Order: sequence, then structure tokens, then C-alpha cells
Amino acid sequence: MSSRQPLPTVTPFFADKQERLSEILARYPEYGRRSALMPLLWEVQRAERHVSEARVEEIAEILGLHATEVKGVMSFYGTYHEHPVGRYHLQVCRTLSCSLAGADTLADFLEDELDLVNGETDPEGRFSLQYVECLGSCGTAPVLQVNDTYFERVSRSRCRALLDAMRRDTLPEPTLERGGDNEPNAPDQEGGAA
Amino acid sequence: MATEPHLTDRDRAFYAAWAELLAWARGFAEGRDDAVFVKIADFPDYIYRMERPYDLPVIVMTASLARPRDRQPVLMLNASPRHAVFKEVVVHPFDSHVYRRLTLAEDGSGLVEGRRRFDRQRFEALAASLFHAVPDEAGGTGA
Repeated sequence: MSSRQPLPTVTPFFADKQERLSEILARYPEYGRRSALMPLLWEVQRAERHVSEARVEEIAEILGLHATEVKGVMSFYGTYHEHPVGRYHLQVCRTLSCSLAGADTLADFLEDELDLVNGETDPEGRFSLQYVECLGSCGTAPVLQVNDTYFERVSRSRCRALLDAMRRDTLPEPTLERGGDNEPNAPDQEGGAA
Repeated sequence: MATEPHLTDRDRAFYAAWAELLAWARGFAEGRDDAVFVKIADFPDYIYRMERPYDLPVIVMTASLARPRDRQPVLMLNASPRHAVFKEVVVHPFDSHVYRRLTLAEDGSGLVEGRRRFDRQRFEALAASLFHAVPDEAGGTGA
């Protein structure tokens, strides 16, 4: 079997971010340097919407790890991406509570509206869709996470309004709701599921 | 072709869909200089036949579209006797841990991804996007 070709040279991500790199590394003792792995992956992913092979090798070198160890962490979590996701990365929770509350219908709606399937990014790079496991907001199911923001009790009408806003490149304020509240008419319950 | 009396119509439809997928991959590679079609493994059917009644008209289990210079896979296509039970094929970008799962359409007319038809156009768009993103010799991604 032929050996793997070396990756082409690219400008290191942290070359001009030494201060930020030092700040992240300083959070952990020297013997726990590898603990900075996930924050460094996040740092790259926030900027580039994915973590390429070149970045994996760069992070491995910074932390004194093998690239396979970095990939091992990346592949354990669904939150890291080897390929670029959209500017609006839609994550639909499909675990039990959300599923019972209509997450499957929500997922179908998104698939139809965006012509995307799970794991896919549209050609314009605007939207990507991913089905994820429990987001820990079962009381306000179904939950849609857009990038790092939760949108709760996402009905079809709310979802449509949200997509329309994102098509205009505006991300509205999240619809955060209280779940399990016995006071349905409490002020913070206003704007419930349509 | 020999008849396989234990195969159902859905089995036959699934194998036809799998063979068609492989044909799309071969066709994609034939049309480009930067991709080759590589058969990676055969069904180890001499093992499976001992315990399971599978007799597959296509022998390829895993194939890939790869880079010619080092035959590094870029897009892998997987099916196995286990997949055959569920009428499922996996399309796997090699450097990603996220894979695409295709299943046989209800009417047996081809593969679907979720509720969406996975046709040759979809396959070629996916493959082209992956090859476009493979770093070239100059270090760019072409993107």
C-alpha cells in the first residue's frame, strides 16, 4: 500500500494568534497541556466552520499529540466537523423528548424547505443540517440549535420565520422558554408554540 | 446470470441499486483525471455462506473514488451482507466521521437518502464537491 502523501503547506492558524493560544494553554497546568485540545479545536472551527487535516496536525504539534489522537476526539463528538458547515448550522435534536414533541416533523420540514439531508451543506454554504442527540433542553422540546444558539419549542411557523430571517442573514433573538411551569399564563410564557 | 431463488424482489432491487451506484462511481472516475475507481474489498462470501443464505450478484463490498497519485480514498461506498438486510448503502467521505446513509426506496426504484431520491446527479455533486476540496499539489483546495 502506498504511503500517505504529506499535506500541503498552509499558513498555521495560530501563527498570528499567539496571544490567544497562550491564553488557552495557560488555563491548564503543563502536565495537562492536552486538556487544551477541545478549546483549540473550537477556536479553529469558529473561524473556519470546520477543522481541516492541516489544522488537526497543527493542533497535534502544539499539544505534543499524534494527529490520530486529535482525530479521535473530533470523531467522538458530533460537534466537530471535518468539512465546512453552513453559516447557519441547524442542529435538530431527535432524542426522545424532542421526538415526542415533533422533532421528526420539524426535521422533515427543514429537509423539504432547504432541500438538505442530515449531514449536508447547501451549495451556497448558507445552511447545513445535522441531527443531534439530546441538547439537554427536554422541557422546551422540540429544540433547534443554530450555531451556538438554542431555539426552543420550535413550531412550524416559528421555524419558517427563523429560516426567512436567516435567508436575510439576520439571526433573530432566540425563543427561550420555561418548561414544566405550572403557570401557563405567566408573562414569560408569552409567545408559546404556535 | 444464475438465478438466486432465495432472493426477494427487494433483494434484487437493492443489488441493482448498489450496482448502479458503483457504475456512477466508475463513470465519475472515467470522466476525470484526478479520480480513480478502486475496489477495496470483496464480500467475504465464502465466510458468510457458511452461516447465512446470502448469494450476491455483485461481489464488491467496499469501493472508493481515490486520488490517482497515492490512491488515497476520497469517497468510499460500502455495502455488506449486514447492510443488505436493511437495504442500506453507506457513502462515506473518507476524511470525515460523518457518513451518508442511503436506503432502497419503498418502491424499489433506486436509492433514497431520508425521503429524498439519491440519483446520479446527487452522487456526482457530492463527489465533485469532495474532489474539489482535496488539496492539490500547489497547496490550495481549489475552493
